[in-house]
Amino acid sequence: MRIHCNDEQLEVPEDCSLVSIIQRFNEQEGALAVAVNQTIIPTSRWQLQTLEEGDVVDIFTLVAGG
Amino acid sequence: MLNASEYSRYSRHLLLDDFDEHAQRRLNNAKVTLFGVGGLGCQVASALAAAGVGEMVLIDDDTIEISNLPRQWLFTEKDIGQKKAEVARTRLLAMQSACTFHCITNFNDIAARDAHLTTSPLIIDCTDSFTSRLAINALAVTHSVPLISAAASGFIATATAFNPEISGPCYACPEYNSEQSLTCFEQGIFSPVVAIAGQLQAMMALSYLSGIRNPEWGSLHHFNGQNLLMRQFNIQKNPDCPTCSKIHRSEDHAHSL
Ligand SMILES: [Zn+2]
Repeated sequence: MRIHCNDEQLEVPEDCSLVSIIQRFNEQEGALAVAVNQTIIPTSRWQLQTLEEGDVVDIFTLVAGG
Repeated sequence: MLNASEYSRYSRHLLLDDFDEHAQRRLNNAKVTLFGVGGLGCQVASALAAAGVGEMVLIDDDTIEISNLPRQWLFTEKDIGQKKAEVARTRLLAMQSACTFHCITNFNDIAARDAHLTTSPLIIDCTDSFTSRLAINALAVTHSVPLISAAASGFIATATAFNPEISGPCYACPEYNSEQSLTCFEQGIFSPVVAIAGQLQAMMALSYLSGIRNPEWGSLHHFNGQNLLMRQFNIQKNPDCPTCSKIHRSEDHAHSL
């Protein structure tokens, strides 16, 4: 199935887990915020959350400066 | 309701849709607690004071350094070495003599801080670390006070409003891996980016305090200064949240007594 991740199209297996997508981005520095269809997914749910065809995943670094 | 001088001073507010004398009066009667008078805090405090917010608590134990000057526009070269909260009060009073400022320059003065929190209907988090943001969020949940939190680093600015009064999500609900978050020390910061983050906070605070519009509670507004794109994400209440599922709000506590 096909999903969108950070503006890229990805071909992934059915029932692909969110955490497997995040692992592709683990070279990013810092704490990650991850959203599926614009909703932020708490870190403790990354493992269990599965993705569906057409889902939009956004992975970005959380900033804390000010 | 407003006198002649106030009427001229705030005439451009009064021309806005939804904004009237009552809205301006609500700003004049509002009290806000501001944590941090750095890049974000200078923006928020200036915008709120200029707009007529009546009372502000400025909490910061930092002193002004030369590296602050590119983005902390309330401070000048002559202020280096002085307390940020106190210099900010002097500058802001010149801009808005009707505003009452309370400075807390010692983070350990918990009694003074908590006394203000019980009479302040809004907390604005303008601090610069993940640790302080989590602590301020816990205070907002405990005191059941709405919180407007923002952050900026590199070219990214974020801002979110939380409302524990309506049992909405809190800052800790996403359970971010906090040890790894980025600060301006690691990434640098471009001054317009932190100004935008601060002005997003000011926008939400002034709309809320004047009563013209509530923020979208739990909406994470994300601005990228490299492509000027603004995006919006939704934070949901997490029943396993390390903060809001654990802390008893002062109201709940009062009921249980
Ligand atoms: Zn929470």
